[in-house]
Parts: sequence; C-alpha cells; structure tokens
Amino acid sequence: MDALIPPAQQNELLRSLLGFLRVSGLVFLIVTPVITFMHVLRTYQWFDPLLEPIHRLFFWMKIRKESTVALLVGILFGIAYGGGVLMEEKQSGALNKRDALLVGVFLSLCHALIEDTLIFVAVGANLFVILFVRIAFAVLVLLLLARILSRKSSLS
Amino acid sequence: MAEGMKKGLSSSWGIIWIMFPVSLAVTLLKISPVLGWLSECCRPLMTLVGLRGETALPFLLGSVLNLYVAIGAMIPLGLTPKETTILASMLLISHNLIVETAVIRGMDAPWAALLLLRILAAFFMGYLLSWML
Repeated sequence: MDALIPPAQQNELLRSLLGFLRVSGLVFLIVTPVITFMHVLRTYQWFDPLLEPIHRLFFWMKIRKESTVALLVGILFGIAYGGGVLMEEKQSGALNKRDALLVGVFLSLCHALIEDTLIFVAVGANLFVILFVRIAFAVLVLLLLARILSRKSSLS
Repeated sequence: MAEGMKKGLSSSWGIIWIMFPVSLAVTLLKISPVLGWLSECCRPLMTLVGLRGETALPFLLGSVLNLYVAIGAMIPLGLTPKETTILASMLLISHNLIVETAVIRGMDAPWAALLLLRILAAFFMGYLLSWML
C-alpha cells in the first residue's frame, strides 16, 4: 500500500473519508426526522393553521390572503418540492401578477428554511447566521421592492 | 407516520450516496494538480467573498445541481467554520437553479431577473459575511 500511494495522499484520502463519515452520520441523524416530519405535515395538511399567522407576519408585503399558501409552501418545503403547488396557485388564479412577483422574489432568496438550513448545520455552518441573516436580507429586499411597487401604482 | 419515517430514511440514504462519489472525486482532484489550477483561476472571484479559490467548485456544483452535491464537494476541502458559514449562506440563496428557475417560470414571475438576483444576492451575502464574521 505504501509503495502504491504516497503517505501524504493517503492522509488526504483518510481525512476525506473521516469527514464523509462524520457528515453522513449527521445527515442521517438530522435529515431522517426532518423529512419524516415534513412528510406528515404535508400528508395531513397540518400547515393550515399556519396560514393566518404567516399572512399577518407578512402584512407589509400587502399580498392577498390566497397568495399566502404559495409563500408558506415555499418557505417550508422549498421551490422544487413546492413546485406543483406553486404553479397550481398561479393557474387557479390565487396568485395575481403582483403577488407572484413578490412571492417569487422572497422565495428566490429564502425558501426550504428547515431542511436546507439543517443540512448545512450538519457540515458545520453557524445556524444563527445562515438562517437569520438570510431571512433579514430577504425581508429587506422585499421591503424595498414593495415600496417601489406601491409608489409606481400610486403614480399611475 | 411509518410511511414518513420510511421516506426519511430513504432520503438520508439517497443523500449519502449522492455525497459519496462527489467527495471521492473531489478528493482525487485535490490529490491531482487539477484542483490547484481551478483554485488559481477562481481565486480573484472567491477572494471577494473571503473564500479560497477551490470553493468555486462546490458553489458551481450546488448552483447548477443541488445542495447535496455541493456538500459532497465541500467535505474534502477541509473548510474552517467561517468559510463553511459563508459558503453555506451563498449556496442557500443560489442552488438547484435549473429546476427552481423552471418552477419560478411556471409561477409567472420574471424568471430571468430572479435568476440574476439569486446569483448576485449570493455574492452580496458572501461579501457581507466576509466582513461581519
């Protein structure tokens, strides 16, 4: 073995393997319960009671109540997962043009807050920073956009 | 509940098997001179956000493909907690762009502008955090 692979490179392989095993263990411990929980949440539609508080929390976006479903699904499950629901919301007319823009911008910057965040915590990222700085950033961009949009509509 | 559990376990298992080949491949690139070359040419861009040149690889992989591939590529690089937090924040904003942009398009939102917004916002966030942390 020593003759085949020089020691420095053996170390590199070993270090990667250890890192992989550690992250795999954490992924297993974190992702399994999260996916289980999300599955139950989705299957039994347990997020309905969240709609009202989310709508209130995002009052400054001035989106319609119907559009809150798209926002909540994206925040909880992500854009790729929530894709079907998001497109449905648009087609059924629950999401008008202005709301689609605002929800689209917010979700572009900030979605799948539970699973994606925790998976990076498994690799060693700082939970507080990757979650709250991201949310704060998205809210700031949205406040700016909502202001620009309302100014535009008051002009026309 | 049992079905959710099964789904959770198979997801974890799937994620681990996505990460494994990526980690192995990036380790081999690290042993070979290729990662060094890549690092060299991406250094100017990644220095902006306080990261080493080779972090361009997980950022690119995550942006085009998905977060699990990005994490697989992050493991062999041996990043510090600060570097991990910066790269994680950037990837959380800019990932899986092909699939997610298709969905945004289906929502009838301005997809091209939002795609650009995500990439720029990722770098802006990285720049911000490189100063804050």
